[in-house]
Amino acid sequence: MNRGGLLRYILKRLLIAVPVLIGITLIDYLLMNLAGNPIDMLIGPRVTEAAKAAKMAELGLDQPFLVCYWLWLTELMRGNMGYSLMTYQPVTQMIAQNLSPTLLLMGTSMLLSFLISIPLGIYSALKQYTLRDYAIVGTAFLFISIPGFFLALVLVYLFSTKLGWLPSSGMKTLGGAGGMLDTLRHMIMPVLVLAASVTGSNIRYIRSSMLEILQQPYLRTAEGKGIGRFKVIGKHAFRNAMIPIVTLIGLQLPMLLGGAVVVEQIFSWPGLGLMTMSAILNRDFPVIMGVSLLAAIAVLMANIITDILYAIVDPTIRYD
Amino acid sequence: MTLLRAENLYRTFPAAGGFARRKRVRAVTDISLTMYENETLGLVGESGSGKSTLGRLLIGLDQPDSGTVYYRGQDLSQLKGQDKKRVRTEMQIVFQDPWASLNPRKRIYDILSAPLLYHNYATKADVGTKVAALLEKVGLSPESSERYPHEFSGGQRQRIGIARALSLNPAVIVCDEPVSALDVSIQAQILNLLQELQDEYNLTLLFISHGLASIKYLSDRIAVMYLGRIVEIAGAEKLFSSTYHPYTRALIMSSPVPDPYRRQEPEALLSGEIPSNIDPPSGCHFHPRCPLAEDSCRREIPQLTPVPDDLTHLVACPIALAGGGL
Amino acid sequence: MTENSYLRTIWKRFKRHRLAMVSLVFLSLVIIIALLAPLIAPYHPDRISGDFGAPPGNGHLLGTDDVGRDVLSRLIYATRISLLVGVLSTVISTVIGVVLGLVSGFFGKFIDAIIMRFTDMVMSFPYLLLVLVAAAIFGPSLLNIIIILGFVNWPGVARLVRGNVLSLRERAFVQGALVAGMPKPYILFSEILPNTMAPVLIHSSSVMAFSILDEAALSFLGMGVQTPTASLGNMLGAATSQAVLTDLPWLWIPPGIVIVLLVMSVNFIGDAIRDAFDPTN
Repeated sequence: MNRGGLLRYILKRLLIAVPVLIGITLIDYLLMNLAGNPIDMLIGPRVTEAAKAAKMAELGLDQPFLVCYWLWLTELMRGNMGYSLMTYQPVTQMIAQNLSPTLLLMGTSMLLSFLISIPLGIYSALKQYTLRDYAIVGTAFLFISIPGFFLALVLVYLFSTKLGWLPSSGMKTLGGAGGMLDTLRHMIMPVLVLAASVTGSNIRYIRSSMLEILQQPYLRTAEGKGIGRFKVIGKHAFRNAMIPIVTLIGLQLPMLLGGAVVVEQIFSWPGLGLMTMSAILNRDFPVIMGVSLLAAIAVLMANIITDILYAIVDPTIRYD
Repeated sequence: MTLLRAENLYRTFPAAGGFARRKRVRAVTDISLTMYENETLGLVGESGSGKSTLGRLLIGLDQPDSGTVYYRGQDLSQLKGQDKKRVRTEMQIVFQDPWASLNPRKRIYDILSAPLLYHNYATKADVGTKVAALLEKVGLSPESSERYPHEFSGGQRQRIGIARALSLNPAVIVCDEPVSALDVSIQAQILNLLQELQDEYNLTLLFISHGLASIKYLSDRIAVMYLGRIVEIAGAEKLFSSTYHPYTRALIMSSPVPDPYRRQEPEALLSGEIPSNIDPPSGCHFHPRCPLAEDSCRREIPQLTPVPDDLTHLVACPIALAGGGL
Repeated sequence: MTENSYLRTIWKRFKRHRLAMVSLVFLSLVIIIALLAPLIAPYHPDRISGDFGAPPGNGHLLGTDDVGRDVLSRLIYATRISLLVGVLSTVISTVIGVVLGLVSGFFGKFIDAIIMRFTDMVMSFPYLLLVLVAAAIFGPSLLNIIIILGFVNWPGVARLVRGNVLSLRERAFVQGALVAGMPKPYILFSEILPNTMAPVLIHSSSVMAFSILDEAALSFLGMGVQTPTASLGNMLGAATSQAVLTDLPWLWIPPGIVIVLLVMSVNFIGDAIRDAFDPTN
């Protein structure tokens, strides 16, 4: 593999991502214009048409669709995502404020999920068709099939309502001293819920790629040479299993983002999801646009990084 | 009578692996070839020599990057409408892998009747009898038309494949290693069937093979390919009796007995590995493995040249030509 | 041996998967109950038939909800709605995905590039966000939910079909049809399409599981099926009120369990079909 080729490949992928992003925002913008007039939501139905028109002009909403979009796009290039129609705050500022709680939630869930699913997935593959394998796979299926909000309700019912061990909403105790430990207590249930479904699909994915690797001839050869089974697995098999794990991270990002909306809603976690949900309910266009764009960039970047890592690990993959 | 004529065919494919885009596999390089009516032309080469690609180019199943194929004097790529449709049906192929060549979800009847009906070779009323006749022609019972491909053995499937190729009254059939996937005990039967059918229908056959043994007695002429080029072409008897090209010699030595039950891979007798056809060796592609190689072989690409006493026997090796045939 | 015998082998392999067999029985039962809902449900699902928030027992097997409707009856009708959403939206996305995948894979080049970029686009849309925005825009109704879920779930199918077409196109039997001069629509629909159906069906089972989950999530967030029509999601949504969560657990635990069992059985069945079709088994 040559370095120039890799660079050219990365550049090409980034260039392809640009029209995809523009397409996404265009569709987004179109959808939101179909939604109807945001001004009605803003100032209510009892205002005169003239006052509405004046307000529209003030906000730049009276222009044709493509003009509005172009305006939004050029402003975006300058780092301005517009202002919220509800709070009049800049969208960039709102996103910045709400981003870190969501990242904390998603990052912790992903980490937790890998800590559980990697050993379980490998173990399950090594013990294929045993009772323990079935138990692990069955549990994985259960995790995949439980809707996050149901799991959340069950956890709240058990640990907040019945046992009173954990707080059921927010990130900090109101009026409390705060601190790391307090946040940690608030995090436990949201993280568990978010991690559950991801862990289920992780286990299945890691198990099946591990099974595939165990069939590889080099592994049998190594065993034939008398190298211990677990040493072989640790040294060869697991390194190859890392490729699918990298893929998984890319695949899970949209899943986690969606999950965050539900989880933050239930636990009143002050993150992007909660902000997005209220923006959707209030038809706060600029905020929805900003969040969609951010999420789309995140997903596209994750895909590109996955492909690049693939290319580095496995140079036989073909790109044209 | 000339039936098919290829002029300066080139065909490359994007290479697998790596990021660089310009790398391409050179499957067929500067090949010119003539096929005469009612002859059997054998095409021999190791895997990766481009023989299958050449076969597909000749019947228009694949298009060359450059170069032209003429069928009865007409440029294949220029054919339009009805002419194209007619010529399409006159050139057929029998594939190597009998397991992949029949749609697993269709009965034999459906496989054979669809082209007959589409091209108006049969009507709804008589298509049943035509299918039955085709099956009998290739040695299968008419009842087998009601069955599915997976119910047949490899040899039987190959017979069905031959029936399909035969159904549209073709003039030329490319046989792409039709027996190499079969048990040796079946191979002779299929080869005999092909020969019988050729006599009966005046077919022109291009017979592709990776060894000389199986096509020695079948072919009127034999062309030998190496890394995308034809290195020697001659009448079948002549190729064995007065061999010129060192690669052909190696091939003959690797199949010394006229016995299809025993075959050695030619690589076993040649020194060195088969070079990549992504970056083939300079000059004569064969020079790294050639016992006769000289300095000039690394620089100059040898052209096919007639041997002294026979204008139909062409060799791409000036050194062998100078030294005379075996 | 005939085509039938092939299916019989598949069935024999499928039966080895015990959990899938249990799931199949369960799912059939649920489907029958859902179809016969008016005959089976003890009360009208949307009418008051008892005390407010009565616990299970006393003529109401699963109790009544906060306005006095029979929970069991609502559960039966809700399951019917969830299955309807799952099946219809899966049909929509499968049809869209198959058509786009076929066209993309078979015609290649320019058309392929455009369709695949469009697929990338839909795939990199944050999924739930898109659904929520669309639901907010078009109004949360049963029909809209079905259409929206159908229109966001096709990219996976499209990619799968495209990949299959690309490999089938090189297969000898398709080449044989080309050599026989058969027209492109014939090759596409008669040679290629039937051979991609098995993987598509397997994939569809997971799409259906996701659709059921997504409908529930949407309705839970108040953007899906609207009351009084009961859906598993909006029944669970009632539990966002602290009073219901704490004091009326029979309102939200049964629909939750039904969703889990429904989705699990669809997943198990899909898994068993995949194994049964896998030639290496």
